[in-house]
Amino acid sequence: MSGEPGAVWITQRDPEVLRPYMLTMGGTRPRHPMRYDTVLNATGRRSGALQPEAATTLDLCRQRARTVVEVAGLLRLPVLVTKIIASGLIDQGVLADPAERPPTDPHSPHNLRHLLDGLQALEVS
Amino acid sequence: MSAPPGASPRELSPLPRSAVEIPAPDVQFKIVIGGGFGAGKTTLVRCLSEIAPLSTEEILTAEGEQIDSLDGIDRKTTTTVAMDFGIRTLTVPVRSALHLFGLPGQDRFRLLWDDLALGAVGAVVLTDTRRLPDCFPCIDYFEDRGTPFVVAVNQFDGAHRHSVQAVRQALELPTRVPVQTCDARDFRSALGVLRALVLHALQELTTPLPAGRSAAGPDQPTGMLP
Ligand SMILES: Nc1nc2c(ncn2[C@@H]2O[C@H](COP(=O)(O)OP(=O)(O)OP(=O)(O)O)[C@@H](O)[C@H]2O)c(=O)[nH]1
Ligand SMILES: [Mg+2]
Repeated sequence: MSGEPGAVWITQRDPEVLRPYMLTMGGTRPRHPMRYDTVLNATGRRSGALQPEAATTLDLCRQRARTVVEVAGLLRLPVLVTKIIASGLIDQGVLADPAERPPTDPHSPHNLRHLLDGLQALEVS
Repeated sequence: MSAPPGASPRELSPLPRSAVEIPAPDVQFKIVIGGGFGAGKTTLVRCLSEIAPLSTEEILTAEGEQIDSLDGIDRKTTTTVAMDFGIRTLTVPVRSALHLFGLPGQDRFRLLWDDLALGAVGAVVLTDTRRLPDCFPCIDYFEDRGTPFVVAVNQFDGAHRHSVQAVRQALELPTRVPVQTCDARDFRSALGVLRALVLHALQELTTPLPAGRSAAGPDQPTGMLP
């Protein structure tokens, strides 16, 4: 095990375990199913009053669409807590419901050719 | 290194409220990066990513299962794992986003691998020729799942330069699986590995596989899961 960022390491930080409850206003489970790479898009609608973490999440997603892991990394929050916060923002209508967005089929030759062309274009750029 | 415990998100620099909205591209791809300890996973993800390196923590049960409720958090039975991820926006032929995820090295995190690998175009397995067997769990995993993968042979300083053929033999890889050398620190080299993977994934779609294995088996998109 190395000390590199991204290395697998295990910690037990008691106070940290309790903090998420406060951030999610007692919510313990995201109502909207989300994955690590679920994309969070702002809808452009105005929000009501938000907790600081929720406000920051919304601001980040207003700058540009962000994945769940990216928001979690920027906010330094566990992924699950981020999902609960994002879920609340979806309920408020300020983040788009990711379920309404069809996933890209990774087994479609058409899509794979797009990806290949995109990577090729990066190489010559 | 990770976020200092208790770091407040309020320490983040304030964001302009009137920022322009950039919607997500409609097309989203994912490639996962596996390999043994120190094989270069973090380096590869960072080299290809356009976003600043971030490390995200996930809370897991002692068995490595993802928890889906904060009610499940018991400080004696949960562990946290730090994950690498990156994004690269592609603009040709349409705007799309490529998501890159490093798989935590230990195979006791297999349940997390499942979650990360679901819906991926394919996988890169990084190898360190000084510790070749370290990548076996990863190779077995992708073979079992039917996820297309390429083996990237990292050229570490001071390591004996093995031929690609020698690595292929040592890992008992079928000829269809591409093996190529790479320098995970070099953008073009890393990009070459991704291209080899996507080309391979395309070929796997059109070439029949040995009986009992299906390219699109467990990796079939199943929509969003919790
Ligand atoms: N020479 C050389 N060094 C590399 C290459 N890729 C990674 N390294 C170095 O090898 C070390 C380990 O790389 P990491 O990217 O941290 O490996 P990892 O797979 O993320 O490691 P763990 O997360 O600890 O399992 C770092 O010091 C890198 O700079 C490469 O292609 N060539
Ligand atoms: Mg790493």
